[in-house]
Amino acid sequence: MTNDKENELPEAVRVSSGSFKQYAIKYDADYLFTSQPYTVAGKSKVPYYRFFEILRMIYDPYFEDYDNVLYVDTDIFPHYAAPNIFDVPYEEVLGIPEQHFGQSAPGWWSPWKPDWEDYKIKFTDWGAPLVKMKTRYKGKNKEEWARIRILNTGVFMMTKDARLKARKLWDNWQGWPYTPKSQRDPHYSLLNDQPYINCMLAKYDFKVKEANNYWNIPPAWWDFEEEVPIDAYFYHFSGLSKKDLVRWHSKLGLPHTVS
Amino acid sequence: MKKVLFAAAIALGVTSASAQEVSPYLQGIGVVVNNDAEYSIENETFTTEPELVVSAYGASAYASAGVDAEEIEVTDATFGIAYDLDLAGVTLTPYFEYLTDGDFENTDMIVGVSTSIKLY
Repeated sequence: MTNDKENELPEAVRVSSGSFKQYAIKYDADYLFTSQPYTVAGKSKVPYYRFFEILRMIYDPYFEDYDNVLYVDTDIFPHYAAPNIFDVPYEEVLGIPEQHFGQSAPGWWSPWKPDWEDYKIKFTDWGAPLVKMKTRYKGKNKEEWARIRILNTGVFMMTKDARLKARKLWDNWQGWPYTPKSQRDPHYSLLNDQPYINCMLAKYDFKVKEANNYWNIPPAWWDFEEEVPIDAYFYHFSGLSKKDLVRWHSKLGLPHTVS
Repeated sequence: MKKVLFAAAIALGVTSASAQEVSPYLQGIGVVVNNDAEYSIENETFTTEPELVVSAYGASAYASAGVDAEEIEVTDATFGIAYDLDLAGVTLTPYFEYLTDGDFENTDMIVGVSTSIKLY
């Protein structure tokens, strides 16, 4: 399913959705792309609320027909030879920890960063334990254990049982973007969907598969100047120029012609 | 097994969550350019006041200049440093400013504290 305003979308979004549509066809999955808001999140004028549109995968009955729902951001494209992510075994939730992102080392979750304190306060206020990652990540000088697991929700998969469990248990997200007046204003990234979802996963003890970052790799890992890409399956251009997405897609997202 | 791939472009135009993922060397550092432009109806003068602010971990340094927009001439300048102290919803910001005229000759120095109280 696509919407009828697809041609009005930015080129990077069209490239991303077009490539994932082909990916879905290749692996016998259905594909839903939309730029139209469905939930109160998408329709809201409240700052940060639109990010929570991802929760449609939990609350929209449309998805109840599906055993697995994979959400992908529209600034990502798959490598033309990427394998089937639906074949990766997991129990309830599959995601890629941000600590495995190159930019995250030493990272937003290092104890010397004020952002770490804000995460700790927010999770504690919402009654969630600070779940450590199961896998190590490469820190500033050595491999470290992250103090808190933050899955990037740019590539995020849930089983049907997990989505129904979330629908039943998860706290009302609409309070998440607000900070008590007794607390300082945190970095805006703490107020969007991603920390909320990770908080709920921790609070209600979801079984999380920390997938290899091949499945969600930001180009900061690459040597941009030398134009040397890293081997990966899904390339995520978060916070980067979307023109770069289009340029790199022409190199990695399309099958190469063998001469 | 039935599966679906879902992509939503709802947050287009909104800075993505991961836009914060800047170089570790730049984390916590902000650089902002402000500008005030105003026209005095009484005096029929048009002035602008561009300002550059560099901040890191609550500390900031800033420089601004008063510019006569009609003459394209700097009339005065301010150089300052400040630090934000968060105290249970109250932000105290002690600051020091070095003021100059259009020739960047010192005209005054100011030490002060600004207060901001978050009500809701």
